Amino acid sequence: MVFSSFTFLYLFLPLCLLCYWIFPNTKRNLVLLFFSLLFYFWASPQVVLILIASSFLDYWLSGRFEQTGKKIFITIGVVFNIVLLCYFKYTNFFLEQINFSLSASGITPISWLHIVLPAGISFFTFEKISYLIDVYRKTAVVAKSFPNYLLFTSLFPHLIAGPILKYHDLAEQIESRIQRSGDFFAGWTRFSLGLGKKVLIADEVGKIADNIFALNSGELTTPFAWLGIIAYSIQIYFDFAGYSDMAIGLARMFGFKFTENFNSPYSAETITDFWKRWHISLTNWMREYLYIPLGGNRVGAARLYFNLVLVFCVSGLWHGASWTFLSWGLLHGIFLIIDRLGWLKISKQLPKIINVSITYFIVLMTWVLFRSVNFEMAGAYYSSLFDLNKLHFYLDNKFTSEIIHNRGWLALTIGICCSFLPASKKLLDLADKIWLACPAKNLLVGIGALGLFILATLTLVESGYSPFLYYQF
Amino acid sequence: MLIKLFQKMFSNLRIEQGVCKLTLSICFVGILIFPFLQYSLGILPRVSLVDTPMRKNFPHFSLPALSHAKFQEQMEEWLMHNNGLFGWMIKTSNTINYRLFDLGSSRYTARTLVGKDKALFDNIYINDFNGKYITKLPNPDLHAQEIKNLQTAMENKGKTFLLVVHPNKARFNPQWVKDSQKVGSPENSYLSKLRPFLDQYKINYLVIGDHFQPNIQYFVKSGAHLNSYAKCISAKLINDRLQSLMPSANLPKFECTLTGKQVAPLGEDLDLANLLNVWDYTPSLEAVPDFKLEIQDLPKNKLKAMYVGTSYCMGVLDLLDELHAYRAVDFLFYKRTLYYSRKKYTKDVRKGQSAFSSKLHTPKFITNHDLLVLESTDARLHQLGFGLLDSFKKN
Repeated sequence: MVFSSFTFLYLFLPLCLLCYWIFPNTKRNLVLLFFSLLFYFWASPQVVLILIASSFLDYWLSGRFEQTGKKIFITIGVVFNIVLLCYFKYTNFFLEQINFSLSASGITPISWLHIVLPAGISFFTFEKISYLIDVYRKTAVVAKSFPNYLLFTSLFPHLIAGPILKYHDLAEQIESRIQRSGDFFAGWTRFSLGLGKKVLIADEVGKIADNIFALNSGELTTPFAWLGIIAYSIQIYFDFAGYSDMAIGLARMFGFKFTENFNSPYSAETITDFWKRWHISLTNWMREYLYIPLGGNRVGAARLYFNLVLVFCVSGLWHGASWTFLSWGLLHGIFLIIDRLGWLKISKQLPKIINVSITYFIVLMTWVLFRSVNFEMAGAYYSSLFDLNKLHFYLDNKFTSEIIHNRGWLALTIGICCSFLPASKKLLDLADKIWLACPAKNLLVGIGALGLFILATLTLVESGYSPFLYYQF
Repeated sequence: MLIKLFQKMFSNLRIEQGVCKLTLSICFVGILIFPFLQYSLGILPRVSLVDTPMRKNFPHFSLPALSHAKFQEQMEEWLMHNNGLFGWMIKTSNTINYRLFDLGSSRYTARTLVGKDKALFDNIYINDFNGKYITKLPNPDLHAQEIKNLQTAMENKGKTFLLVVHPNKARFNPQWVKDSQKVGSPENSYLSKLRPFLDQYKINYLVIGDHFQPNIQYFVKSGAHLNSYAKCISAKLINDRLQSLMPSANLPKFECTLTGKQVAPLGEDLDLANLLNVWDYTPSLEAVPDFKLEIQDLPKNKLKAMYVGTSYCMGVLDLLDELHAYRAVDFLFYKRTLYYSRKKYTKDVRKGQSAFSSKLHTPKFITNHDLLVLESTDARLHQLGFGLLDSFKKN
C-alpha cells in the first residue's frame, strides 16, 4: 500500500485514526503496531513474517548483549541483517553477472527463481542495524519490550521509504510521547503538502520524463533530451520529498516527530552541500554507521578519498542492484573528492548563481545514469544531450503535446520555481516577512492543504495507481 | 509595501487559532470519511459516466491473489469505482483538465485531443493528418492488389464492389489543429500512397472528401463523425456511384438540399464531447447546416447488401434504410457483425472473435450479397476490412 492510494487515504487512514483515538494512551502503541503490520502485510504479504522474525532476533541478540556484554551478539545481528538485505536485493544481480560470464564461456547458466524484493527492505534493514549499533555504542538502551522494538522497525509512516530513522531518535517517543493539540493539524497539513508534491507535480512531470526516455536515440533531439532530464530531476525530487513530507506528516498525526529528509537540495552550492540537503537521513546514516567507523576525516588524504568513494558506492548499490546505480554513487564520490581537493575554496569566490548552476548540472548528469537501465542507454542519452546537429524543438514522429502538454508545463514550472527559489536569500527573506505579517496563517495553511488534498485525490482517481520511485529501493 | 498590503488584507481576520485548527481538522477528517458515508448512506446522487469501464464486483479473495498482490490491486480499483463519488471525481477532474489545460484524455476517457477553439479530435485523425500511424503500414501496391482480388471475386459472381473512403476531420479542418499537434506532412497520408495503385488496378473507389465543397462545414468541433448533412451527402455519393456500377438496379434517387439555415448540433455531433465526461460541455455556438432530404424515387428492386467498415457507415445506412434502399444489410463493423435492420444493430453472438474466423463469413457468404461496400476512414485505410482481405486470401 502506498500513501497515494485510495485504499490508504479513504480506508486505512480513517480506520487507523479512529482506533488510535478510541483506545486509551496505554494501548495506542499496540494499535499502531497492528496497523503497521497490516500496512506491510498489504504491501508484501509474503515477507511480513521475515520482518517480525528478524526484528525478534535483533531484540533477543541486543538483550543477550546487554546481559553478557559480548560483542558477538551484535556482530551476528548486523551480519544477519546485511545477509538478509543482500539475499533479497542482490542475489538476482549477482547470479545474472555469473550467468553472463558463464554464457560468454559457453557454460550452461545457473537456473534460479527470481527473488522478489520485499517493499522497504533497504530502509528497515538500515534502521535495524542502527538499533544494534546504538545498543552496542550505548547511545540507546535495549528496547523495553519486543512490541516497542517491532513498532520502531515497522511504524508505517517510515516503513516503506523512510526517512531512515535511528533507534535513539525514536525510542523515547515510542515509550512516552505527549501529543499536543497542534500536532494533528501540523500532521495532516504536512501530509497534504506531500500528497500534492507527489501527485500534482512529480507524477505530472514524470510523464514528460517517461515519454522522453522512451524515445529512441534516433528520434530524440537535444532540447528534448534536456527537457527529459530536467523533468526527471524534478520528478525524483518531488516524488521522494513528497513521500517524506507525507511520512513526517503522518507520524505527526500520531504524535511522533521524524527528522527532516530534504532541504531544498537543488539550491546547493556544491556536491558536498547537496548531500547535506538530499536524502538527509541516508547521508546521516552513512556518515554515522559507515564513514565514521571507517576512520571519518581523521585519516590520511588517500584513505579519506577511498572512504568517500566506498561510502558513495555503497550508497549507489543501496539504491539498486545495477552497474548504473553503482556508477552513480561512484561519480558522486569522485565529485566529493574534487570538492575536498579545492573546489570548496574556489566556489566560495564565485557568485551563488554560478555555484548552484554548476552543482545542478553535475547532479543532472548523474541522474542520467540513475534513470538509465544500462550504460548503453545512458551513453545514447548523454550524446543526445550534447548533439549539436539536433537542436530543433520538434520530433519527427510525435507532436509536442504528445510529450508534454499544458498541465505538464505548469507542473514543471512550479517544480522548477519551488526547487530554485530557495536559493535566493532575498526572496526567502521577503517570503518570511510576508508570512510573519500574515495574521491568519493557520486558516491559509489549512485551506491550502485541504485544497491540495482534494485536488490530489481527484488527480489520483483520474490517473490511477502510481508507485513512488523510492518504493523500489 | 507588499507586506503592508498583506497586513491590510488580513487585518479583519481575527480567528481564534485553536478553533481554526480544530475546524479545519474536522473538515479534513470529514473528507477522509466522506466516501464511506457516501457508500453507506448515498448522500449525493450517483453520477454516471459515458463509456467508462467500471469494476462492479467485489474482488475475489484467495490466498494466491493476496500473496501476489492481485487482490490488493483489484480492491484499490473496486474502492475507487464503488464509493459513490467516482463519477463526481472523474467529471470534476476532467473538467479541470479540459477547461484549464485543454486536455481531453485521461485514463477514463478515450484518446481525445483538444485542438484550437476547443475542437475535439480522436487522436487517430491527428496522426493521419500528420501522416503517421501506430501500426505498420502495408505495402500499398500489394494492398491494392488484395483489394483488386476481392473486387474480381465479386465481379466473377456478377456482383458489385465499391471501396469508400471517408474523410478525416483534421485534414478538412486544419484551422482547428494546434501547431503543437502538427508534425510531419499532411500530404504523407496512406491514402495518398495507395491512391495511384487504386487507379492502376482499376478499382472501383470513391473518396468522399473529393466531393466536399470548401465553404460548407461537414464536421462539428464536438464530434468524431460527419454531421447530418455530410452523412446525407456521403449516402448520396455512395448510392449514385453504386447506381452507375449497377445500371440495371433501381436504387433510390434523392437529393440533400441545404436550406440555408443552421441548427444546433445533436446526437452523434456530440459524441466526442460526451466522451470527455465533463460537467459543463456546452456545444460551441457553431451550428450544423440544415438540409432537406428530397426523395425523387423509391426503389422497386431490393438488393441484399453487405457493408464492411467503420462507424461512419452507420449514418449512411440509417439514411439509406429510410429510403428502403436494400432488402437486407449485413454490416461487419470492425471485427464484429452487426445484423442491421431498421436502425437496429444486433451483435453477432461470437463477439470478441474476428467475424471472418466464423464459417458464416467465408467468401461464399460474402459473394452471396448483391453488392459489397468496403468502407474505411482515411485514418484507418491501412486496416481496411479488419481481416476481410486476409480471409479472402486464405479461402
